[in-house]
Amino acid sequence: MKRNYYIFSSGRIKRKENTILFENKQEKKSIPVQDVDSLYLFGENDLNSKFLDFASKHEIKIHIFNYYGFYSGTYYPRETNLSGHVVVKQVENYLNKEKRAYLARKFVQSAIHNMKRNLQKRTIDYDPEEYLSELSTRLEDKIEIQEIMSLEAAARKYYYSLWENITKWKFEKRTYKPPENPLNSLISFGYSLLYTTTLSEIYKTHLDPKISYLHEPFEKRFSLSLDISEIFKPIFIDRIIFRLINNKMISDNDFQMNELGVFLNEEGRKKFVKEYDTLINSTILHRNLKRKVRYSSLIRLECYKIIKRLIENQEYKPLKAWW
Amino acid sequence: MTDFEPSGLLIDYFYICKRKLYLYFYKISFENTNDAIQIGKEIEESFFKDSLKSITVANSKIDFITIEDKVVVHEIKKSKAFESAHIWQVKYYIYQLRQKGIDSEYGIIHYLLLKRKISVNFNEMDQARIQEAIEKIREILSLSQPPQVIKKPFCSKCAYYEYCYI
Ligand code: SF4
Repeated sequence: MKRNYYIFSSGRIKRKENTILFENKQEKKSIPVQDVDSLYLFGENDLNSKFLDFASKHEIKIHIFNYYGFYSGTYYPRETNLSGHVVVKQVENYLNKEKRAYLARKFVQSAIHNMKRNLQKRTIDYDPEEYLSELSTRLEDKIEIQEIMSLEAAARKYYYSLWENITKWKFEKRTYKPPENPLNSLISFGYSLLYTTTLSEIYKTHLDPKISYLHEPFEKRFSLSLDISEIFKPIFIDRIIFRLINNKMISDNDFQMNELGVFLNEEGRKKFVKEYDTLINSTILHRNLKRKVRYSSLIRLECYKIIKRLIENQEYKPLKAWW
Repeated sequence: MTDFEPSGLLIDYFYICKRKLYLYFYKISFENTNDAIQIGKEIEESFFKDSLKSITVANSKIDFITIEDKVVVHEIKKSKAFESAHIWQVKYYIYQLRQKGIDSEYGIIHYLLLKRKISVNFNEMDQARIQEAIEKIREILSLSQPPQVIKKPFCSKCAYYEYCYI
C-alpha cells in the first residue's frame, strides 16, 4: 500500500535503480519507489531533473516546506487521469452562478457541521452550537460568493473564540501571516499539511485542482484543494491539535520564535507529522460503502461525490462527521 | 454518435452494466483499489504476451486469432462471472471481421484460471441482435447523464463501486 514519506534531514535525494535514495554525511536510506504516494521535504534537499522525471513516472507528488515549516509548493506530476468530460463540467459549474454557489454553500455547511461536531465532543459551559446552526441556515439562500465567504468567516471566528477554553492556551485571534503564537502556528502548519494531502488525493481523480467554487480559481494556489480542505480541517487537523495539547504531547520547547513569527521547530514538526500520518492511515468503517476506508481516502471519496454532482447533476451530500 | 462503432470492450460492458459502459466511454475510470482487475491484467500479460500478438480490427483489440478453414477469434478471460457478456463480445469480433469481408463464424473463450474453454458460434440471428445492440449503445452514449446504478451483487467487485455507492 502506498504511503507518504517525510524527510526532515538535509541531504541529497536521487534515483537509484528502482528506489529513491536519500543520503547525507550521517545516513543513507532508500525507499522502494512503488511504495510512495507523496514525498514531504522539510529539510534542505538537493535533487535533479532526472529524479523529478522518475518521480513523475511513478506519479509521486513532492511537497516542499521551507526552513520555518511553511509550505512553499508542490511538484505535481503530469496528470494521467484526464477526462475532458469532467473538466468541461467543472468549468460549467463554475461559470453558472447558481451552480457555483450551490457547491460553495455545501463546502461551508459541511465545515460548520464538522466544527460543531468538535464542540459537541467537549464539555463547554454554554451551548455554542446554536449560533453555528443559525449561520448554516442563513447560508441556504445565499448566491453571492462574498456572502458565503463572510458567513464562513463568522463561523470560524466564533469557533476559534472557544479554543482558549478548549486548550487553555493563549489564542486571541487567528493570525497566519505570520502566526503570532504557538496555537496559531499549529493551525497554520496543520492546515498546510492537509492542503497537500487534499492535493494528492485530487490527483487520483479527474478533477482539475485549479477550478474551484468557494475560493477564486485565480488565487495563487490549487484552489480546489482549498475548497475541499475546508471540510476536513475540523476533523483532521483541529482534533490533532486538541489532542497534542490536552495530552501534553507538545510544549513551549517545540516552538521557535523570531522576528518573522512563531513556528514549530523540527522536534515540534516531527511530533505533529507523526500524529498526522497515523491519523490519515488509520481506517474507519464507511457508512455508505460498508467497507473500511483510510482517513486519507475520505478525501478522494469526497472528490467522487463532487464529480457525481458535476456529471450527473445529483444532489451533493458533503461529508458530515458522524464520529 | 450515429456512425460511431463501439469497441469490443464496450460491447462487453453493454451486457454487464450500461452505467459502466457510459463512464468508461467518457474516460471516467477510478483508482484501481480492486485486486481482481489487477490479477486479470497480470494473467493476460504473463500467459500470452510473448508468444502471441493481439490484433486490431476496426477499433477492437482481439486477444489473438488462429486460422483454420476460417478465421477463429480467441478471447482470454479470468472468470466466468460474465459469461454471456463475453460471448457477445466474441460474436461482435466475428461480426466486425465479417463486415470487413473476412470469413469467420467461430470463436473460443479461454478461461485461464479455470483451465476451461468454451466455443462461440455465429449465425444470422446474431447479426441482427448485434446491430440492435450497437444502436442502443449509441443511444446510451448520447445521453447527457450516465444511466442509474444497477444495484447488483457484483457491483462490490466493480472498479466503479466507490464512485457509484458513495
Ligand atoms: S458499480 Fe455496479 S452500477 Fe456501478 S458501474 Fe459497476 S456494475 Fe455498474
